[in-house]
Amino acid sequence: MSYLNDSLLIIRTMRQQGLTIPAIGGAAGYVIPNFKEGLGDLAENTLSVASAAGDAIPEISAAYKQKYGSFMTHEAVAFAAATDAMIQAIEIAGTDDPDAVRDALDALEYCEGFAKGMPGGCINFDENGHNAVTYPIMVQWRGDEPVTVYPPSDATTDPIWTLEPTQ
Amino acid sequence: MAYLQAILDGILLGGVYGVISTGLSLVFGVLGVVNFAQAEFLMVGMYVAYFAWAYLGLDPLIAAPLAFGVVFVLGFYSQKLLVGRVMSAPPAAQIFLTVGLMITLENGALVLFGSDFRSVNVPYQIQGFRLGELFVSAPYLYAFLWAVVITGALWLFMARSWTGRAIRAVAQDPMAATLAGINTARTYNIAFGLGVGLTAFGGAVILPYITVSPTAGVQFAVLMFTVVVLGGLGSTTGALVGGIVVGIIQSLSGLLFPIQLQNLVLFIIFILVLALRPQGLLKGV
Repeated sequence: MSYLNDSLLIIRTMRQQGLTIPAIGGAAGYVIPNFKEGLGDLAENTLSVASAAGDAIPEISAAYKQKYGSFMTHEAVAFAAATDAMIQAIEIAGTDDPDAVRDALDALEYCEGFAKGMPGGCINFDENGHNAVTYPIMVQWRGDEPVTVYPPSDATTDPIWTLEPTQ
Repeated sequence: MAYLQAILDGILLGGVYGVISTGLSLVFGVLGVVNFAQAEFLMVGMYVAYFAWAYLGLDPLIAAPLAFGVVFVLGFYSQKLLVGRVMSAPPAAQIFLTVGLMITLENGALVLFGSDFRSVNVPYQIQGFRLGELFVSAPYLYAFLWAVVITGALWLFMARSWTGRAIRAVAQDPMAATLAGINTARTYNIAFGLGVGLTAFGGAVILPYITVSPTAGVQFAVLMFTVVVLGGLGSTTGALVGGIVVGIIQSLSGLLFPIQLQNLVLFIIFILVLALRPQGLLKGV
């Protein structure tokens, strides 16, 4: 269960029961600013799978945070990368003709700008329209935002597997 | 032991369902109006408690009377200015009005507070008590205890106070109540305020274990109607018993069946009660 309500309930109930093992969430409610707002310090070290994380593009991420007041969620990274890919395809095609843009997207190999924020660092669509380069990552809450802890190629810090008992 | 635990959880959950639904039952019992916006007043109560926590540092359990007070005033004037105008109108007009109120409150909250889910952060959210092999979650226990206190207070108010007796008199026979010197119009205002205020109180006490958003009331809307139909529409004590029955059914069916079927079991019982005992499990006000 990854809805925010469920994620908060799960973490709180684990702590009520005296469980101090770290929880591993399934993105969604586990990797948004509201998770930290709801749990406070209990959010610390909670792990979750994610499709991207802002720490892969620290400069863009810092500018985003300054403008919007919270960290770059994985949706923000992925949607920015998708928009960037569309802009590149339109520029390569040199027209807004849908078929030409579609063909340009299909052939796109882009490893700059927001594409660097996706795990694998590039955008290259396969025959099914999926970005074949990218893969899921594991993030862990540290302070006010989740940071990448796995795989080692993308990790900006090491995972922590033990939690301090809360009661 | 698992069954005992599920029943205990169900009672703790159901006590709060009872308080939330008592308001709906009270409004119907006195005004004869089915208030489809009742669950939205729950959401308003949750927001009052949330902002009291965020800006004044008040625990939602302490802010619950504040939520009651704010929503009582809102309900008082909603009845005076809106609902009062359709009380002698056909039921369709009453439905349109309360559904309109529901949509207005929900979207008003969306405009004012945004679509974010908000949660309070209080220390007892991670506390629990062990009674032998049974486990009691602190936020559920405190919410239940508050529900019992407010139900007792409501009973005392309705039984002992002049206003409470006036509400009951108006519910029984508005004409006779008017002849006895009761200001019927004002009593309707108070009854509606009291009904939605109680629901808002319930919204505040559940805030430690649930998030608030503009659509937070929706999940309770059908549940409230189930509770009052089980308890008997118009019966306030029935609503409390109905609430606890619903809580236990939800909790036990969550244990016995896949979690997705939790509400299915509830609605099958709901339909059976409607078909076999439409006056509810308990009768009277």
